[in-house]
Amino acid sequence: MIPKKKPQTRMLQAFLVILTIIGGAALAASPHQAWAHGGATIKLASEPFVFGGKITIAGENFEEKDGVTLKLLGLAGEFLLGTVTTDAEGRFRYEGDLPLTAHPGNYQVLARSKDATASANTRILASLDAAQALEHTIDLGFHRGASPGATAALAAVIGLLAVTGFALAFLPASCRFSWRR
Amino acid sequence: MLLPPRGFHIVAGWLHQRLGLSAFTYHVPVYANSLPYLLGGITLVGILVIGASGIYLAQFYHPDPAEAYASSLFIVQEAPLGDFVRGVHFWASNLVMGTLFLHVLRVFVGKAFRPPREALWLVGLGLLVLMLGLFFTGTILKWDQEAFEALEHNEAMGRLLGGLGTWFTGEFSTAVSLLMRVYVAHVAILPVLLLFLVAGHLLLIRIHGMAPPPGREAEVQAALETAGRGQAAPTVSHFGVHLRRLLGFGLLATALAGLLALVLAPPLGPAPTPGIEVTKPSWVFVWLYPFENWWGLQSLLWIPTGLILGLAAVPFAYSIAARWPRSQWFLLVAWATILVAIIALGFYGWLTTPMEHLMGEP
Repeated sequence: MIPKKKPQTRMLQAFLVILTIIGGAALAASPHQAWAHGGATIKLASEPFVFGGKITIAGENFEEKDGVTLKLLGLAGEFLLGTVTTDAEGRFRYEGDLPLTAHPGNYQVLARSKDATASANTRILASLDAAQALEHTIDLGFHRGASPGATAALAAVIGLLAVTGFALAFLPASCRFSWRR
Repeated sequence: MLLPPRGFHIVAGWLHQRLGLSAFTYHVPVYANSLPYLLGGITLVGILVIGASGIYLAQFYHPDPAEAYASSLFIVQEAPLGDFVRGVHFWASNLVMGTLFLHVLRVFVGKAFRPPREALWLVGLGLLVLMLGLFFTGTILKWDQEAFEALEHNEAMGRLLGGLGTWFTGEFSTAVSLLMRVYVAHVAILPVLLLFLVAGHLLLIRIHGMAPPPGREAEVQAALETAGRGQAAPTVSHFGVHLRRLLGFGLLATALAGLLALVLAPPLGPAPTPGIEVTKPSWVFVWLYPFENWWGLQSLLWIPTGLILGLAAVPFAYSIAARWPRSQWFLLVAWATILVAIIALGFYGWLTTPMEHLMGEP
């Protein structure tokens, strides 16, 4: 006699089927921008960029001796940076001025050739002060290296909280605190 | 049993008499001490941590559009332990949203909304909406590019509602900036409402008790009555044990928030640039981003509204479906599908490149 499946098993099976269908649909519907086109990639040097400053783009895995058009896309508009020709290994390096009409904000750098497209996100900041502030905030994770005492004290407090929490959470239920004798 | 030092019981007894601590010496089922049943309490401990860190941050934050970003920078660069406290506030907020969603999921899967706990479910839903509001308003206060665009979306939602939505726009009060009003909402209005609803939520739990797993109502009730008569009941525990484990896990979550604050600085983007739309919302709201791409701004209003109304109807839908047991499985699978879709849409929204939605809006 074939045993009946438990309701929990049926529910779990239905859940897994639904998860697989939706996961597959989500992957199939993923935008093309999320995936590399033909393996071509670009990297941006010396981010973040400052308004009115220079931009440096390095590309690789393009076709050899191919023309690549470089553009800057943002809500302020579409800006043509220039065109370059890849070398015998499909690489290029571009350095040029940021257009003065590309106002501060977030942009997408697009490199397009006949057979390949690559993109990278970047941002243009208003001033060097803003760039320094952003650099400072990004670096905050370990900035307390300048104050090892404070870091050590905080780490000790966190450790004490963790140990106390562990003791309270995992002490046996029979271990009860009583104020009555 | 652990006994305190000699003499301590005199102080404790004094407090016990005057504060009515005997109200907390009641029985709870043993299953209430497991982690899934402690998620709500862990969320509450997290809210207290967020509140305490928020009070410190408020000493240095200036809710004026011309100064807000500079004050955010001051907190992370100059204020004593400002970056750490901001980190605790940020990571605790994210952890609390996570435990809150897991708590809602546990209550839903365990069908703890069954009669007579419908009001408890609705009050909890109100708490969920308030916490989402606090998370959203908190995102705005840092006043970077992401915050600015979030506020623009807030105004656009307000305009969609016409006269009803004027409160959410700058037109409601020209004497005070919208950022200041968002700040007042974040530090006063929403926390006060949260306090009332939390009190109501806890009171209803005390009245109705922790909902037993489906099918075990009679067994749990019998065990509690046995314990109440002073007889041994192995499936019954003491509230003190529940409270101890709740505090323990809450402290562990706090320690995790502290550790994350120590090693991972929360993001602070560049100063806002009006007129562009280049950021995406945080993980709590990013699942709505694809809807905004497909159907525009109004989807941000109607999709969450539909979801909240659907959740509010859950206890009553299950009461009706109780007459047809198979239909309950259908409801459960439908909600599971919605949950999986939200998670999948969240990843999809995370992967898509930022798109323009607000341009062209009045």
